[in-house]
Amino acid sequence: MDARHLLVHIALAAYPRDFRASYRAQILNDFEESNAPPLGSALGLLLGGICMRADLFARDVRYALRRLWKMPLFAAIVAATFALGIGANVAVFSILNAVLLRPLPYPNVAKVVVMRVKNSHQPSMGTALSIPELNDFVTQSKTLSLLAASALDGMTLTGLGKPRALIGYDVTPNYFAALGVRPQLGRFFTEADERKGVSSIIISDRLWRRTLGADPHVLGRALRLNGAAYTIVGVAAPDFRSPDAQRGGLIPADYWAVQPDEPLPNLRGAVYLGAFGILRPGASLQAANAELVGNN
Amino acid sequence: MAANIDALLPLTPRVFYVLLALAEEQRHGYAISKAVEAMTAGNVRLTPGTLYPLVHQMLLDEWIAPAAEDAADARRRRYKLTPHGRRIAQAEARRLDDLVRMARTFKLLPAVR
Repeated sequence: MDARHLLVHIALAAYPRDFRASYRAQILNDFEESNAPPLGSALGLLLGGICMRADLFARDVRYALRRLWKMPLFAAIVAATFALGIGANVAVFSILNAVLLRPLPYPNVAKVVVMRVKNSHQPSMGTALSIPELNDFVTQSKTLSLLAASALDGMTLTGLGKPRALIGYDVTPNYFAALGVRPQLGRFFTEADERKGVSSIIISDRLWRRTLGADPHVLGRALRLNGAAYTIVGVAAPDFRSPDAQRGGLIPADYWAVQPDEPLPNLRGAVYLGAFGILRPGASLQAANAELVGNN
Repeated sequence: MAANIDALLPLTPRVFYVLLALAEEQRHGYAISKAVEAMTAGNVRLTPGTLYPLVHQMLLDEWIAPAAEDAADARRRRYKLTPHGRRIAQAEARRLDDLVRMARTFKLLPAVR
């Protein structure tokens, strides 16, 4: 087979099968008789095939539309079925995508290790940690650094129109640093925020926009929560959500606060901390697992 | 039948040329494109990619038919106009003739003596 034949055979692949079978010999004959340049004629042939396919497709579409037009009830049922099916799939996929498929939206995500305590009543999830347990890890872990914790909380905001119930997290000062995120305004917490008498708070983008009118000079303003004044030191990024293994997902909280560092009773039964750590350089997840299990 | 034929008009120039080429005599594909090239002084070139899809459709619609005697030679299959195809070509010719006559009436073309 010479180059011309090869080109014609390739171009013929664009045509429907029955057309190819009927006209291949004639088309090859025509190419032999004419002295047209092989590449140009083959391209022309290819284009003809694409046009023919497009034409057949357009006919099919017109035929289908005519049939549907004659059966409006059937068409409506088909359309509704498609709409429901697509809608249900989109809804389920949106949840799956956010919960399972997309990586967590934190720069440090590859190094974040969530810690849970083994519990025979909740074998799959385990339970949250108590403060003494967290402190054990902070002082003893060789594989994890920046051990951070959060606990879901709620406070009532007053002094800005109608009182509002807010949901938020009490967090350790290193919480945002461990996740590796940056605020859009101000700063995240430091150890200084833990000192007694300091009441710092970071607010969500939503609270900042809806309740404080996206005030660019909001830093340093005080919010009255449960009757006490909290100073706004930062505004979280618009898409920031708190990871919450207890509730299984990313929770859009209104605020994040730091509780003062006070001596607490040694209550190992009070388990309410969602805790996570960052793998130290060179430490593997397996090593961290082994260490944590050893501590149990 | 006449009403049906009117619904098929106007034909595209290429289709009309193919019908004209076959009105003269039975031709195989390459001969059709040569004849069209000749009758249009080289202005219309039917490549295999444009000719054979047209031929295929016209066969399906029974405007043309394979010429019986040499249908066995797959490489040079000849085609002829069917009576239906001839009526369509005539109807298109009449339509064009009417248009040309109107053009003369409105002095777009010189009157024929």
